[in-house]
Amino acid sequence: MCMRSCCNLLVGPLFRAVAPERIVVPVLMALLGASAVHAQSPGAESCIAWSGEISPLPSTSSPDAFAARWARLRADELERLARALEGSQPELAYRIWTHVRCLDPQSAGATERLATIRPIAASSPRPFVIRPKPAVTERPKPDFGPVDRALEQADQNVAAARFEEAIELAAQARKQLQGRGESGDTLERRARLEVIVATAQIALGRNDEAKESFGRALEAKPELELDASLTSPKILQLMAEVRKSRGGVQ
Amino acid sequence: MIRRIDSTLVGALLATALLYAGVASAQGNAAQVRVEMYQGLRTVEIPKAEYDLVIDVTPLLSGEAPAPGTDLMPLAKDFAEKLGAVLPSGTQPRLHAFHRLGASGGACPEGKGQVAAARLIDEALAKRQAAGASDSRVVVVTDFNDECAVALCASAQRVNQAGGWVDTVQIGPGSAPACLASLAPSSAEPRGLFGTAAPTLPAFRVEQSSIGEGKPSTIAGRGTVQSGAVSVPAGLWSIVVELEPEERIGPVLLQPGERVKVRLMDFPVSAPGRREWTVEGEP
Repeated sequence: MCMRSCCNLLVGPLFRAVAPERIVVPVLMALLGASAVHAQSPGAESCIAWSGEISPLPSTSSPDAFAARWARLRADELERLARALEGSQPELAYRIWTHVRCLDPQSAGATERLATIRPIAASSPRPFVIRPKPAVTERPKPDFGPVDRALEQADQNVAAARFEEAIELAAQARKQLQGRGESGDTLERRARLEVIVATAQIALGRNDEAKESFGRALEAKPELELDASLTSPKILQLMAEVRKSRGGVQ
Repeated sequence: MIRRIDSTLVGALLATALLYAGVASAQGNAAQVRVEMYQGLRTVEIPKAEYDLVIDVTPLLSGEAPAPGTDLMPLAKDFAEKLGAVLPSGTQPRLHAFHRLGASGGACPEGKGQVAAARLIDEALAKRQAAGASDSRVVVVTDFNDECAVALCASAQRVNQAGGWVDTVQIGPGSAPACLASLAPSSAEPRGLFGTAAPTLPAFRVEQSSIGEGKPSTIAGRGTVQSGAVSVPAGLWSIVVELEPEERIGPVLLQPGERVKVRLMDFPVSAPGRREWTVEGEP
């Protein structure tokens, strides 16, 4: 793996564009950009050879010219690496700078960087407030099960010529629909209910009551249309009269 | 006798002179050869930046107590999303959230304050260590109100000892404990930096010089760099360090009973193709 390519990766743009709308953003930019906040005098660290290095660790001031030359080159190499890492991983860079100073005790760069790179203690006197996002509560779908079952049974009663029972079941369904608002689902069922009642009433010869039922059906669903192929002409005619009397188009 | 030859022109001339001195190999009396490597970085494997964000959602909520059992992570995630634009590209911080009004992290050694952020720092460190990596950067975001300073600094010290460190972002009124600023970051060797904890040290062999003969070389001994000396018969030998490419040192005339140290300098990453060596007699 090449040092050059690694360094290029590391010294590339570290931060993306920021909209500093919150106080915490610049604070954290400073933090994660590893800017200096503490200046401490560097302490004397124990200089231990790292893996693969000669022990005891030579330094540039070593009387052995060969070892001193190695220490010089090694310090230069690690210094480049430490500089590349400072932006993204200052804690790692700090440890490398410490070793650079062991290799080259006279390194002004290492002394300066060790005094500069410290854990960040950023602060903002302004409180930063995030309120929880309002919970999106999905309204429970109304349960039309009992109503639908009552209407289904009423329909079957009409088909079986049990008209009184059909009217009774429809009356129960009407009660269940009370207080359920004016949603499309409710109005749809209200219209169906009144059509069933009207049909039963016509069968029982109670046409006036049937007209009132059709009136309530059209009130719930003005665009209500009955299937002409499945509905008796008598019923269709009565409903047309009611629609006409309400000012609708026949 | 202490001799010294090296890879410079003078050293090469000396080695050539020794070669043509016509000294026959002295059988029966052994010489000792060892090799020291003065090496630079062999590979650089930069570990991925690791962050643990310990977020106190109390100041974020402006002190309002959430309902019991409220999941705090959505708040922390919401906050972290806002930080997403400023985190170094590609970093995925691990989130840890707590709420001071509902915290119960343990007793403060000084009996003052809560052990809330400290507990999460310890947990984050434990998770990193369990994953085989300990050097994580921990960022604590809080107002520091009512946080047990002793416990917080002790946790931060543990992170430092493991090779990471703790950054703090103090929000609103309050101040970070002074003890945090006095903690010394670790100067220990970064284990993950060079790929393996201990770089593989190359082997070397001492073989007969085969100049102009075209025959397979006779190998007198084998060893490993930075290890003990290899015993070879006295005579004219080359020392071959099995790097890529191999480095051939010598020929060197080894006298009976002589101890020789070869030093080889190699910086394959920052100075590829440039090696230096010396051969020195040892007392």
